[in-house]
Amino acid sequence: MALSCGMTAHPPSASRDVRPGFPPIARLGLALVIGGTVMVALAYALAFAAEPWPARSAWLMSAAQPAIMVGAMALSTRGRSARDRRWVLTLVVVALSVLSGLLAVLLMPAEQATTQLRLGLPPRVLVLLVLVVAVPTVALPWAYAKTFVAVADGE
Amino acid sequence: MLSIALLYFAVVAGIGIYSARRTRTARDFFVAGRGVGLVTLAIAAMATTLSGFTFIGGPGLIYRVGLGAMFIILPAALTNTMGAAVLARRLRALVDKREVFTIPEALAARYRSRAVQGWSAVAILLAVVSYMATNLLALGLVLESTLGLSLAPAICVGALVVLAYSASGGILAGLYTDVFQGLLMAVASTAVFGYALASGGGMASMSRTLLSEAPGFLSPWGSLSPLAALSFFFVFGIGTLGQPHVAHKYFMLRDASQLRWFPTVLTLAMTLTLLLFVGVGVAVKVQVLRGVMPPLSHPDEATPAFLRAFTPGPLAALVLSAVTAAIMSTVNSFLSIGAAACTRDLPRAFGMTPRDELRRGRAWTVVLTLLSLLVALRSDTLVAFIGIFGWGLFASTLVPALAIGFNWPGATPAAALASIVTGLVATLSVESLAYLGWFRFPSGVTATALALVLSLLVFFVVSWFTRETAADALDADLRAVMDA
Repeated sequence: MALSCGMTAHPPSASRDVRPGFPPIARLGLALVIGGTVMVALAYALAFAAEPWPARSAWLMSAAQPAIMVGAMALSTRGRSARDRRWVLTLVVVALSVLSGLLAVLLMPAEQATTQLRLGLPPRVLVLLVLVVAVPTVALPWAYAKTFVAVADGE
Repeated sequence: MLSIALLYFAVVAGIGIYSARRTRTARDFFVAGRGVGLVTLAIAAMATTLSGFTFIGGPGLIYRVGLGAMFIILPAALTNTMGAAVLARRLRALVDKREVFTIPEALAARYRSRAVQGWSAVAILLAVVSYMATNLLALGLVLESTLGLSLAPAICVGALVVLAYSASGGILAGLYTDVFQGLLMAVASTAVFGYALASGGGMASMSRTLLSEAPGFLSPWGSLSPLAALSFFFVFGIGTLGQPHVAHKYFMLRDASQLRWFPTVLTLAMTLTLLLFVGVGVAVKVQVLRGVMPPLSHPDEATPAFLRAFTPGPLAALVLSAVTAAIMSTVNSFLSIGAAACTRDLPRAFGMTPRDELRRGRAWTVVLTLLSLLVALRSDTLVAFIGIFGWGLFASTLVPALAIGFNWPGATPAAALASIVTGLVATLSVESLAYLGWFRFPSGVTATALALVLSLLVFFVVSWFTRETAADALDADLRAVMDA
């Protein structure tokens, strides 16, 4: 292609530092992102292999969502934040909350005309809104602000 | 209705003129002089993220498939903080080290590769033109109903208004209008949600109607399969990290320490604005089931029909202005990153030095608008086809190289290039095959999600095979950015 012919390597930089400064939480985050991506790929492979899609695809997708998204946040953690228990704990709580919310929705009985409402909503919807929406919505911005270390003050 | 629409356009025009006077350099034009505060950044990011789909297509989708459509917006509970942690912090730290105006420039700095800059610019340009065309069509539809014009002139009027303030004031005009438009969207959406609850007699009463008449509607998956709903969650969750029109805004923040409260402000604004998405879709379904409203001939009529039936005229006008606002703010951001790709990224990818960037940036803004206008004026079928891959193209080409690459020192230039090309080829080919009917996906699998997962896998696999080159690709200042 013309583009690849015309584009050349970037000029070399004067100095380089290749120290592997990758904290354990970031390594775990990377593993979660890769694991989550593989789970999504497997879920789709199973769906291609069997029509209609097998239930295992939905289980894999449910587990993959918190793995990838919380994993990405863990992957980005550096410096003092990596040693701040509040941030790490919040990521764990949010991952478990989203995972349990999605799995609960898969496991709980479907809605019927006689289903009892909770706070005006069917139980599955309430579980979804609390565990997948409310918990991350409140916990993540709070923990991010509390454990924020300004870039200028970073290590 | 007409007077409120005209007043809205007058305010936007005023902002454009004010911004044009303050736009003197390419830095002003492309990154707002890097003088943006927290609230402006957060509201602008929200207004840019949400397009007309939030107000028209989203409620229509809820009406059609039930609560399963919520999986498009549920990831917002995580993505606001995820964007700040994964992207905003790194990109803001980068502009302290390098003179970077665009996302392809950031990628070139990260991987020391002009090829990565060039291919990412190509992907952005393709997605920008397609995305803009669909947004201009949506804008035309709104103006058609408010101003009483036929569709083609309505599309042209909408495009001219956006072009006027984008070409004159660049991203600065976009930011100021985004704040005005974002506040408009949040206020209007919150008010409409209140009317939606009141119209149905409260949440419990609405739920009882739905459970007795259409219990599947209140299933968390709606009429979608769990796999389809979770595919939405995947694409609209991790995919947000690959939206360059949002990521580009992080370059503009004046003070990096303000990022502390960015997720909080963004989450608040986003939550209020998304209330309409669910509220109107559910309320209209309830009213149709109760026989108060006739069944909709098209799901996209949910919002206009609800506004006409249940809200006062001024609020209806405000919401339609908010729809216009959402579309215009998105189009403006696309114009900015598209013009930057033409003015800075493609010349640099070929080893040329960009010149007279302010004038050329304005000229490319005009060219891209005209190009998108031409596409938008073509048949609906073509627009629908090209519109479906805009988000997916951004996500599949940029998430691995940008979001993962700026946080993982082990990512390599070869992997970044391979993932961008994979995303480009996979999105275009798979979407084309599906559109032409030559290939049928299993239920629940979408072309966008497939392209995204393919590009992520390629990124990790190629990084592993070329891992000995990772250290050479990372300059010391970029290492500092990644450790920030």
